[in-house]
Amino acid sequence: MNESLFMGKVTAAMTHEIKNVLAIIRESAGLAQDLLAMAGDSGFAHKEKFLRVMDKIDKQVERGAEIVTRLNTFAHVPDHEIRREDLSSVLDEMLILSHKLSRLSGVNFTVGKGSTSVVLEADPMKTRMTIYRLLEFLTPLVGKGSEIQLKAMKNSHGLPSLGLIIKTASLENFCIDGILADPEWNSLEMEFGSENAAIEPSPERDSFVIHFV
Amino acid sequence: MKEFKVLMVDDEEDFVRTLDERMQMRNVDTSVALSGEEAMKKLEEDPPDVLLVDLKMPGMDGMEVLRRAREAYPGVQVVMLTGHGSEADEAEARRLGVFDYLRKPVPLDQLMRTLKAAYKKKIEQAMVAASFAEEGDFESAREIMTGNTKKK
Repeated sequence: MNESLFMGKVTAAMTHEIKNVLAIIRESAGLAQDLLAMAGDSGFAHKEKFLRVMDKIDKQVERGAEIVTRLNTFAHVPDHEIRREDLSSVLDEMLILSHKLSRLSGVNFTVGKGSTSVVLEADPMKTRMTIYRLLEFLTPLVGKGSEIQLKAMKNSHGLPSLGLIIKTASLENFCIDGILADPEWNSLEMEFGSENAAIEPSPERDSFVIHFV
Repeated sequence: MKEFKVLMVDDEEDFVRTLDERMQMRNVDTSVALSGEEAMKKLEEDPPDVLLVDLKMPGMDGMEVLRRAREAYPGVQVVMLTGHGSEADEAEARRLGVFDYLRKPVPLDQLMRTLKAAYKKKIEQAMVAASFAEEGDFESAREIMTGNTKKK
């Protein structure tokens, strides 16, 4: 068993435990609400506030369950060296996994919906690493208030590719050629370009396309 | 008068006891088993209308409880509620005849709807099976109760 597989196996087991914890929190909060409902209107001055707090707990449990489900899916990524998967689903997964990065940087990540299904057959871990590292690299450059849209596409040869469409608050501050000349970008390109993907700017120079190979 | 009887099987005691209390407030006749083995004993003593079972438990797991319950108590509908389920687990549970497969943490109203639908299915199956049995067609009655209807 390699390190990634081991890490994934342990993480997946832990996500199952967290789901049990979330279920206990939800049921305990629900029971408190049930008891309050049984008591009726008499005697509890802070009923409205209490119900608001219980509602907040329920919503956070839902949010936690969604994150844990995605984390569980992610933990199973190293199970396959090569996997056929829908690229749009991978992007949806990455949106959840990079939520913290988006929140801290103030850059909004979105997934653009394509008209056709794009199926990618590649190393699933490397695909995710490529996307995450690109987002990590680009967020400080595009700046707060910008948007990076990820879109599953097919290139002119019908092969799967990923569009990274960047919408900056002020386009003049965003220099795609500056990014391409950045040494960090070159190292990213070296890292992913040779084995997994070729990364190119669009002819309009306002977006990138990653061609998976 | 309670609406219907549910046996809940889960080794997470805090979870299953709290759920038990909430279901009783909703007029459901509930009992709890903390292992697969205990569930099989309770099934023998007093079969419920619906069995709500966790998948991963020490000793006899939920899949084995489902398998045995469908064989020995075909009238009992089984709902699986798990924090552990993979797609392969769900497919296997459906092959074995589970009524529904839910993932923790599930909202209580959704769980109640599922349990009521499972109970309704149990009643409907029992009525159809009884009509076959009245005509002496015990094989068809059995097939309906087990869900293994053969084409004739």
